Parts: sequence; structure tokens; C-alpha cells
Amino acid sequence: MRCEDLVGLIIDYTEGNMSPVLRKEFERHIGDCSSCVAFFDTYKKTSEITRTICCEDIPPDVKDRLKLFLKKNIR
Amino acid sequence: MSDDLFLLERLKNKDPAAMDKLADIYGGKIYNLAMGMLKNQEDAEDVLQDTLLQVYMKIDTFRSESALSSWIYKIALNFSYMKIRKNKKDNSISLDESMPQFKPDGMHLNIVANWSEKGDSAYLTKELGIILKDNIAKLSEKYRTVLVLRDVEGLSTEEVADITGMTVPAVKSRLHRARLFLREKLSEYYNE
Repeated sequence: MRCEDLVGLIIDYTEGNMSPVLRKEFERHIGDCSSCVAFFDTYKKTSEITRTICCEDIPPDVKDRLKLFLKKNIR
Repeated sequence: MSDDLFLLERLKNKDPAAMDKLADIYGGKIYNLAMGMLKNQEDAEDVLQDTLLQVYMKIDTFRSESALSSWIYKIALNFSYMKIRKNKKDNSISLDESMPQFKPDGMHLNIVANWSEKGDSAYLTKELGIILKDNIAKLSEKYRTVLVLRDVEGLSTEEVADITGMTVPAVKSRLHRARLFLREKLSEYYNE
């Protein structure tokens, strides 16, 4: 397996839908390649950061206006 | 009876109190989705209100073949798309230039720096938040949709496929490219 192949397969690996043979090849390559370890770690971290940063709570004023909106339009 | 089924029954009976419950359960998810898609609080608020009202008005048309949550996400996405088109602000860029590069033998072109520890939640800065959100906004609608549903909302790939009407491989392909693009932008930030 080449680095380019590994990068293309990261999503299958992280989603857990990869054949056992391919999975073994993936893990063998990553065990020998520091650049691919770095790529894999930072790929996973990108998703984690996205989730952490982009999770928005509804601001209290938006919540208040929503209650008024529903009251006006539904009841 | 599951919570969703119970809620559905109450909504179909036009029980006004069910709307409060619906807003409690789905309000945050809808708002989060709309903020991810639109990056604008006022527009996200409109999507939130319009979506909940639409759910209430059209609940009789809901068919139980898909989950109630998927149906609600579809409605919220449609309102988000309408906002995007109304604002006519398509700043999306091609992702090709931000894809990883390789040598002819398939090895990485450059040494890849491992900044993953710098990305632990304790070190996340406001500046990074702005950079990330600006770059999500640069994704075209089709990439942004799968990224927001999967990585911001935390839905499964199968749920994203159900909501978007795409195949699972197509969702994975778009998601992967969107993540590669954002990874590259975060690498630029951390390695500067």
C-alpha cells in the first residue's frame, strides 16, 4: 500500500467498513510511515475540532423569540 | 412507544404542548444545522422558526418510512438552501488545490507535521474557530451539507444518506474531500 492509497482509505478505516485483508495492509503501512501516522492523527483531529467548535447552543434571546413565535402562530 | 412516536401522535392531534416538546428536542439540532450551513445567526433563527412551524403544519404528510428526525432535518436543510439562494452569496471554492499531494511513487510529497496534540480542546482558540467556520462556509453546498450533518450534528453516514437522498459511498466521498480540505486549512494554521 502506498501513502496515496492510505489517504484515500482513511474514511473507510475510521467508519469500520474495510475488509480484514485491507485493514491489515492499512495498519502495516501506518506502522512503518510517520507521515501517514501524522496524516491519520490530524485527519481524525479535524473532525473532532469541527464538532467541538461548531456546536452552537441556541442563544437565550433566540429561544425567547422562538417561544413567542410558536405561541403567535400555533395557539 | 418511543419518544418520537409519542411526540408524533401528539403533534398529529395538534396538541400545542407537543410543540414545546418538539422545540426542546429538535430546536438545538435545527439551529446548529442552520448555523453550520449559513454562518449567520439571523438566518439560522429564521430557519429554526420556519422549520418548526412547517413540521407542525405538515405533520399529517409525514410518512413513517424514515425517522422523524430525518424528515425534520430535510425540512431544515430545504429552508437553509432557500436562504443560501436568496442571499446569492456563493463563495464556494474548488477543493482540488487543497487536496494532499503525492510523489509519482505515491509517497507524501512533503513531510506531514503532526499537530494533532495542539488541537486538543484545551488549546482551541477563538481565532481557530473563525478560521474553521470561514472555511466551512467556502465549501460548496453539497460538501457543506454532508460535513455539517456528519461532523457537526454527529449523525451516522447512513442517516446523512437518508436525509440527502444520496448513496452511502457518495456521502463518504464528499465527506472525505471536505475533511481533507479542512485538514489542510488547519495544517496551515498550526504550521504557520
